[in-house]
Amino acid sequence: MFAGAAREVVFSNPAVIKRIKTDFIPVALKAANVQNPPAGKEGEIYKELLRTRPAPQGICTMNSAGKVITWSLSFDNQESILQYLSHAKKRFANAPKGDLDAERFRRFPSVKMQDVLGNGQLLQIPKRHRKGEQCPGELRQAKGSLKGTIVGRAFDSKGHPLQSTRSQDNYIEDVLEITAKMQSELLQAARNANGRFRLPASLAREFVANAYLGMLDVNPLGGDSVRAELLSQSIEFWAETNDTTRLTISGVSKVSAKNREGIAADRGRKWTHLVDLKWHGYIDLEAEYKGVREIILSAHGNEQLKWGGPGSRVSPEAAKNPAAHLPAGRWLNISGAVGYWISANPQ
Amino acid sequence: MLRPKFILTTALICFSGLAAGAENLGESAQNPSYKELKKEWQDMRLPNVAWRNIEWKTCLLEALRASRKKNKPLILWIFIDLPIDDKRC
Repeated sequence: MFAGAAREVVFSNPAVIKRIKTDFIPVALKAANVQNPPAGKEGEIYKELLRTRPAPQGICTMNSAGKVITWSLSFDNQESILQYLSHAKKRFANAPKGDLDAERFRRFPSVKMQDVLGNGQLLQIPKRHRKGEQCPGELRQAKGSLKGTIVGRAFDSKGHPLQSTRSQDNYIEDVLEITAKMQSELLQAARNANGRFRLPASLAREFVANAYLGMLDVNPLGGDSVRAELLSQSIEFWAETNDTTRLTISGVSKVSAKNREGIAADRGRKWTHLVDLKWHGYIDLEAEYKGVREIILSAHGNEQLKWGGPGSRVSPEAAKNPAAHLPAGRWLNISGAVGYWISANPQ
Repeated sequence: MLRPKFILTTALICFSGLAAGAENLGESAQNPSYKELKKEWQDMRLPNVAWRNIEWKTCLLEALRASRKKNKPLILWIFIDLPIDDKRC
């Protein structure tokens, strides 16, 4: 939940955006790479993050030598976010390229944790990666995959899409990967079909698995990776050949999940999520079933999502002061009409 | 001479086929065409979402090079999965 809350509360705030663009170099990094630093010089900088971090996720500042200036997990209020940036900038001015102690806050500025002392080691930081060396932060797409984009919108009672897009309960964008194997299975099915045929399960599931509002933590098909218990799923997609290269797609999907229970580490996580959709679209194939040229799909239906509430670790105060509750976020209670659109083609 | 039962059965099959066809026509009328769907996708994807205003780097080496050149500190957003651009948090 931290990431979604941070994006909504911190990085969508116009004053914060302006300050970051003016005074900082913004970097987004995977927590997994901090937890398991990659090899090489860049890995040494990740190790510095690992050495100083107060939690797996957070907002950190760093000087030009790769030494951590500050960490914070949340903020007293919105104004404190700008104060945090000013504070980091001031400390940077005193030690732009040298070693320094890493300050850490559970909540800036009121809840300070113990500093992590500078270790006196300054790294030799190369200007760029060696030729052929892949950057650990690079988005990796498997060979032969189609990259797709999904957009999701919530609608009001009159059928108009909600205009507030800061939070992922109203608006989402995400990336799908239509692997070479999924494409191959589709082409095989189309080649062997005589009229209407069932879309391969892996491809249908990839569409459905990304069609939900909210953050990663509430993915109904996320399984153990999001600590979910799947309650029910029904996914049925059909393709019909109108001519040899365009398939008309129709489908229905209904998935329902909740937080898993019985594991101590999950205590306080409380959510339920139901997504019920009807799908329609097209898949264009290359002549003679040689490849997939384009996918364009839409889905409409109903969605119900609850995150938090009594008995959860999500504070009821978070709605009033979300900056102070980034790690667990705020209560979510969505119930209404939704729509999703998927577009995929070779890049 | 056709048997009454056969006529009745055939009539029932024909009527249900017509009804199914009518249902399909009704669905076709609701389902957008390929062009309409492409336009819908473009319309629904908003160009100016606030969180896309920050151009996040993902390479620490590149970011530190920029930091030295511009004399600015880094701000790092560390979390599970990539936050940049079009990816969900």
